[in-house]
Amino acid sequence: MSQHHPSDDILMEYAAGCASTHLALCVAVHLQYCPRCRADIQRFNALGGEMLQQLPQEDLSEALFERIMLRIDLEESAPATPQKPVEDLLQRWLPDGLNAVSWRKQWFKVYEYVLEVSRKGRQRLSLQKISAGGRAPLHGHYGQEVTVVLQGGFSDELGVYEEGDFVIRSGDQRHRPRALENEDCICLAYLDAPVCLAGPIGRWIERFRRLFMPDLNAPAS
Amino acid sequence: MQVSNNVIVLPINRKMDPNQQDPDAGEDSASSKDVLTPLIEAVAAQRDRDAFRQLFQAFAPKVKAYAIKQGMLEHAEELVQEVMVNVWRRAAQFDREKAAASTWLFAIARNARIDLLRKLGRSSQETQVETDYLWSLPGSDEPTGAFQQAVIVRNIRQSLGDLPQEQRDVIAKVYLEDKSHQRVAEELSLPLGTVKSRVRLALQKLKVILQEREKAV
Repeated sequence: MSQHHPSDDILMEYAAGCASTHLALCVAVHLQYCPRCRADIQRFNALGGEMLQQLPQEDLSEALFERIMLRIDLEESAPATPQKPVEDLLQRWLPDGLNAVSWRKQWFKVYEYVLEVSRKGRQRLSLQKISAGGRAPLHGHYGQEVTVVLQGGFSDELGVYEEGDFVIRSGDQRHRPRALENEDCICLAYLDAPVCLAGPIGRWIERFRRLFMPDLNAPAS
Repeated sequence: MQVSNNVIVLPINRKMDPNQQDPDAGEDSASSKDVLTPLIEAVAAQRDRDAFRQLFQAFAPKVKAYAIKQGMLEHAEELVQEVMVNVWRRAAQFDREKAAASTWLFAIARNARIDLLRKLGRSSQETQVETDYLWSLPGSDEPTGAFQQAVIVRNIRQSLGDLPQEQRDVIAKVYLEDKSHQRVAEELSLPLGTVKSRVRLALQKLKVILQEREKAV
């Protein structure tokens, strides 16, 4: 069972449905691994149910029920489409599983496979792989980085993370993830703004990047 | 497993509160909870239109209130339609062993709201994954038993009324007004930490979070 979970406020925002769809995806992937958080979500959903039941009754237009029944009758007369089972959430991108991904090399022993990028390129949903024993460069974050470990494990200055673990890093937390020695580490990662390279060379690269992306706020360091 | 340990704690706590009744006793004048379950089951088993109409009368006016709170006034009845059609479609998936009726109905309403906002192009960030995969409905998980579901709901219902207004308000903004903790903090001009600790206190009283535990980083 995983050891690192979304915080209570993330679980609550997820249950309330006010998390962004990408954060929701990361939480949903974690839930597939984590019976404890699934049980938590049931109670958060129950709280939502109560909040909803305690709302006042609003008047409805007269014909609303009939309109709904009309739609239902139309649907019932059409042939039913079988309900798709909830499969692996990442299957649409990975029909042949994690072993068939065509990785793009980013750094020594660090690879990326991009799943979705927002139009302006700030938000990024991707798979990240660090080969067994490899290290990613030291970096901070312009925004938030959400990581869910899908295979293997990694460690950084703040802990050791294994399959199913849910990790959030933000601006002031600089870290240098390192894959565990025995197995390649693959993670689902969501960035709501780019990472910010640190270290002597990294800082030099970042100075140029800010020239082209002036809306990046330098993270607190 | 930790899950079952947590759930066993609840009935013991209940005994300390003389006002609480056995949730299986059924009588509950405070709300319509116990009416909803057989109605959904009748819709599932016999496609019972009369039961569906009663369900509509009990639930649809609240869904409309939910839509209005969420700032969807001009789409409020559209949301009601989506929710009720989904209740009809999915009634067979409802399982009283796995979720209380109010919990299941909330999940249907929440997902329909998210889905409608996505269709209207109003959600800020988009992924290709469908709403019902991102937010799976209760029931895809292992059952925890109807009794335990009833205990969870009863705990929440009975303690909600006792919460200080400021704690209740924050929870209402998150669940009913689609506001993150961050936005609630901005709106109330409070530090984010204050908002989070209010919520945390409330969740502990409601037994939504069951024990003090290591905070996820």
